Amino acid sequence: MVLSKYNVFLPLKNGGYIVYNTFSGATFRLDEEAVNALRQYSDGRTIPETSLAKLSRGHVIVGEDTDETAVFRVEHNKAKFASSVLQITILTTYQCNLACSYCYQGKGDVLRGVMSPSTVNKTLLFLKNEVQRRHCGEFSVILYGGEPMLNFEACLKILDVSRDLAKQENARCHESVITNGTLLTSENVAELYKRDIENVQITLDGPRDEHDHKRKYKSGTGTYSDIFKSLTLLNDLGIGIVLRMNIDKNTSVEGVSNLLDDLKKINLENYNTYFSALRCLTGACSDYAGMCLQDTELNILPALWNLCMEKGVNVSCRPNVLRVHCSSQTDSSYAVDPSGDIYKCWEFIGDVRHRVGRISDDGEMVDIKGSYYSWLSRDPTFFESCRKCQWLPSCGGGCVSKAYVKHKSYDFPHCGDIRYTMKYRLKAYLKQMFPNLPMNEHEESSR
Amino acid sequence: MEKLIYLITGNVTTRRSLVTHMEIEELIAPLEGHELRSCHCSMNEMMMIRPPGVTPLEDLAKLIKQVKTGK
Repeated sequence: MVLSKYNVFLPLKNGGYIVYNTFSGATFRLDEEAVNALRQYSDGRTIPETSLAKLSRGHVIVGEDTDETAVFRVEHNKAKFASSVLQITILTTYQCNLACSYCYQGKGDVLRGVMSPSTVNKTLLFLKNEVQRRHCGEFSVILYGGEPMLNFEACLKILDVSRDLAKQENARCHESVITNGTLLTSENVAELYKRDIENVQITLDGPRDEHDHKRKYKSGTGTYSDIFKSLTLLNDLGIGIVLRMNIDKNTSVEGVSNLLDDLKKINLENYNTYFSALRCLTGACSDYAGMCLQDTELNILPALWNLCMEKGVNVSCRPNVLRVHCSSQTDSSYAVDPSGDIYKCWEFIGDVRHRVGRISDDGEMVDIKGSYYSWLSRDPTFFESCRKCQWLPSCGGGCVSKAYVKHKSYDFPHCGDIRYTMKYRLKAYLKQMFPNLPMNEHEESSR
Repeated sequence: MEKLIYLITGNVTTRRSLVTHMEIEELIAPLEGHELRSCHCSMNEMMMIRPPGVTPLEDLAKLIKQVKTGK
């Protein structure tokens, strides 16, 4: 047995190490003797069998003849082509009632299509065909846009039919809505509640002033107050809320602290949050690029996670363990636009260069493009930099869309925010789970 | 949390002490099965990857709903 190449060693203040394995997510605390014993294991040092079994299950030690890149490649392909969970994202409309300064919609309704009842029907037929063909025990439907609530009738039809399909197929169905939160009323929230919607994701762009400056109506009026009214409506009915908090060069810990205090004032109690760096991936929003944080400039994240923990806000900072970078890289994930065209990634929806097919009237994916095969055949273990990287199982080779934006091809790695923030995430997560662990905040071992 | 402390007998022909105190403590078990699912980067990964011991979001929502509505 030898130590895995996917081990990350973090020295502790009082000696010893935390060993985190990026392939399994297993984490051990080892003293110096244990680390030495493991390093010399092949020389015959004795390590108790029960510990060996745990270390082996956690992938911290692997067989001497194990090609870990090959192991990752197999798991990557299993996740890509053998997932039993279908994920379908449906854009009920391209239209939006906002004109956010960083979004293509803020540039004058670049895309305007609305999903018609007949396209809703064929999309739902597509969903049914896919669930039955794949024998899915579980599938998720995500309503997205534009602003999906602008086509609420379609949303309700999709939610109703999906739920019926789940009953019919004895499958578990996860339904969620990603909305800007400005069109929620007591009436339509009650309709979502009746349908047992799993969660609603809403984005905030910082404290009131910052948010209102960026996330605004077409009239220029800010949306902060209206979003807070919507959060109250959702909260009152106990509907799960996910708050995405966008960060950019304007973001400060003090500003986010003010925002969290505002959320506390409305007694928001059932929400999870995560921070996401604003990105400019389309030409329409490129003039905001100067305000975007680069992947290597996300040093503010640990302070934001710590802030959330101090204020008792449920924030996830567990390091990712990914077999593929995101669900778009699996063959069981589709994004359907209002015209019934199919894309792999939400970021490229509307850009026909990245369209991978369309839905026929009988609910089948037809007119399959070369981009479909190019997208799905990308394998990070073919990239030398990924093969050498101990963080590969945390990032899965990076975002395909971002790789394309940079290289004009899907077939490149992308060292993104995950790669650069993972050690911060790991430390923050350990602090969250084990507050008394004597972490050395400024030191990392490369052993 | 399980903490294991082992006493290991060293090789008397080396300069090491006869008895070595070795600590190996598993803090977090490996992720397996559904916990390895990926979601889109524009969604909260918390919906897919949950820390051990944290109530899944949907269960928490149902629990709060039950408390609030009495159903």
